[in-house]
Amino acid sequence: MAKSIQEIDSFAEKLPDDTRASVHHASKLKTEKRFATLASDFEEPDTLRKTAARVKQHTLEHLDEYLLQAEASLQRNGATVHWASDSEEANATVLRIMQQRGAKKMVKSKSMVSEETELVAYLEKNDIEAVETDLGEFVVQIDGDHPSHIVTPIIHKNRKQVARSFEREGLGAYTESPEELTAMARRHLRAKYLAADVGLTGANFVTADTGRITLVTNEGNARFSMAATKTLIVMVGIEKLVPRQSDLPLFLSLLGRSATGQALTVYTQFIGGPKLSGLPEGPEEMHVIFLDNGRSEVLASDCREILRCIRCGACMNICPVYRQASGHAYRFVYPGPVGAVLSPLINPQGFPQLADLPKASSLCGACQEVCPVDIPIPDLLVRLRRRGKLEKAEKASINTPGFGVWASGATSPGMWRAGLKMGHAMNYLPRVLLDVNPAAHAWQEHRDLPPFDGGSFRSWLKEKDKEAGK
Amino acid sequence: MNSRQAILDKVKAAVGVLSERSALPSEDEVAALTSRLRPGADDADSLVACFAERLQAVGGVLLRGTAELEAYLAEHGATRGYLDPAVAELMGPSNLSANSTYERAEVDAMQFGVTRATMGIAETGTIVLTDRDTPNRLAALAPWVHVAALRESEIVRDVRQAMAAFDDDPSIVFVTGPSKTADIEGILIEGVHGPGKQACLLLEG
Ligand code: SF4
Repeated sequence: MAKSIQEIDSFAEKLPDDTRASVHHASKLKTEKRFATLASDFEEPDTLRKTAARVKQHTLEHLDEYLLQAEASLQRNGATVHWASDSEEANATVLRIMQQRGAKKMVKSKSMVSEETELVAYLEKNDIEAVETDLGEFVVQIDGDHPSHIVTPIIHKNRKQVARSFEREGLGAYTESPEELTAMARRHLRAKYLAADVGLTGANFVTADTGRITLVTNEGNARFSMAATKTLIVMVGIEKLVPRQSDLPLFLSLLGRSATGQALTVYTQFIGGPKLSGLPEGPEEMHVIFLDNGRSEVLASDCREILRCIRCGACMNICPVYRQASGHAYRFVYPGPVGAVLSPLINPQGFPQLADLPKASSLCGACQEVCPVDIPIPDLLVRLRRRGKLEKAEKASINTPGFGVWASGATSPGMWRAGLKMGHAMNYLPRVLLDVNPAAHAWQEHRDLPPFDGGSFRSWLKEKDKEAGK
Repeated sequence: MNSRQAILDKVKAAVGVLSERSALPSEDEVAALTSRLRPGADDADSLVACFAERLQAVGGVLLRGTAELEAYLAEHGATRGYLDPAVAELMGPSNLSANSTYERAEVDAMQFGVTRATMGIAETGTIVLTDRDTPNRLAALAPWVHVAALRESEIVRDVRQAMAAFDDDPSIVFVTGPSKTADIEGILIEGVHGPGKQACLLLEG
């Protein structure tokens, strides 16, 4: 049988065990932290998610007006605004700005849009040194690798791999101490900041009313590039707008908690133009590049809700498929549930190339439940599956498993409970015993069961209710 | 080729066909979503107590008075550094020896930086820095130890109140704890690009 498995599965299958373990461990940790802070800090976390969703949905549905307003506000603040329809135009704009200043060196903060446009490779081809300064992105860059998570790019690597890369690049002797590894990167990158002409960042939000770029980092790399360099370039997707500055407390509350379980990310910058005149450090020029790159088409489609995304990573952290497959299996910049929707829609190879992604989901709904802007990801996945069928995308039709056993279990409460109780026992059963259903067999051949950890949702809920005195 | 017009036209066409468009939740509705971390009252004592607690929770250190500042710097072996003259004036006489200017050439030699903060946020233990109050952006960022000087009366209740006080300063930065990463195996490390030690010198008045 030619190519009987979906591409995402063949990636997942080849994933080394220690990589899977790294990804599983780190994403689970973040899910727990998110849950702990959001639920304890707010009376009704769901109301926050739903309100943020409405703000974003409104913005998208009036995006033409808000873009014009944001442009005017940014210009009033002294920034130059550029527009780019696609990656090529965005990259060329960056290069042109640099050439006009005779700039040769760039320090770069983590920015998913610049991953989308493959900016660094483009600049390097044009004799510009562009250095990633986020620790994870830096490791990705020296390894010639790709990020596998939008918040923690090297979630798929362990300290030994990082240590070997740093040793190879001459940053310092092999060490397995994360402190020492971080200190090496600090020293190395500090010299890069001080020597660079230009700093490039993404943006988490752009406020249409005040024209401020809001940017969050924990490491302080974006802040450093804006202290040390004379030109600031911000590359931002057109969907990143919020109408009012007064909307930000809500979004920042959700972003920090959803991404890393922090009430606020360490550094939250509100940038409203070049530095004040008379000060010694900071950018004298600020450029903002609004990038479309397929977003206006997504806006015209029945999946426009995905443009609400604030890139917190919560959906991938909780996703059982992501935890098993890791980020590279999604084969484009955006992995996990958000990527399963967005990547097929905006990747430059076109929809059919990634038409398998919307199928790589059990539609369990966990992604929507954690999403700070309540994106109905399962619904969107179903819409894309339909599109895959209608367009006869080959990748969308490979080997769909029979879900007979699952379905009968899931619709009979007795069997469901018995199955859950058996969960732990399943860890000790030889795999072959589980391969009883021939329909499931083909599917399972390429998948490993995750270790069963934790009890059932029902008993968890009972405990919670008891604690809450219900 | 005018990409600006092309993008705006496409966006306009995409939203123009919608039969219904969502309304924007009112500012009041958004503002009502406050966190439990916010101090219960906004009298000076509650604000200071809450700020102190949250600052510690995010890995920051609260220093009361010049003697504590000197002891803190000594504890971290930070003997060479910068003290913003505006802060020196606020502090009054002290034994602290420090430079009154910050030069780029000395970035590696400067172990501490004491600069002026603009606000503190009780809800989150955040220190707010601005261009107007920070004469040199690097001085508040590059040294291993950063101390931000603040008066008690400059502490506001929550993030919303802090943002409402924004003027047209081009660089407003919320600092909530020391610079950190968890990129390597999810292990928390402090002091990546910014300060590994973040303190707030809280002065009366
Ligand atoms: S889709 Fe939602 S949960 Fe996923 S990254 Fe975007 S905002 Fe976060």
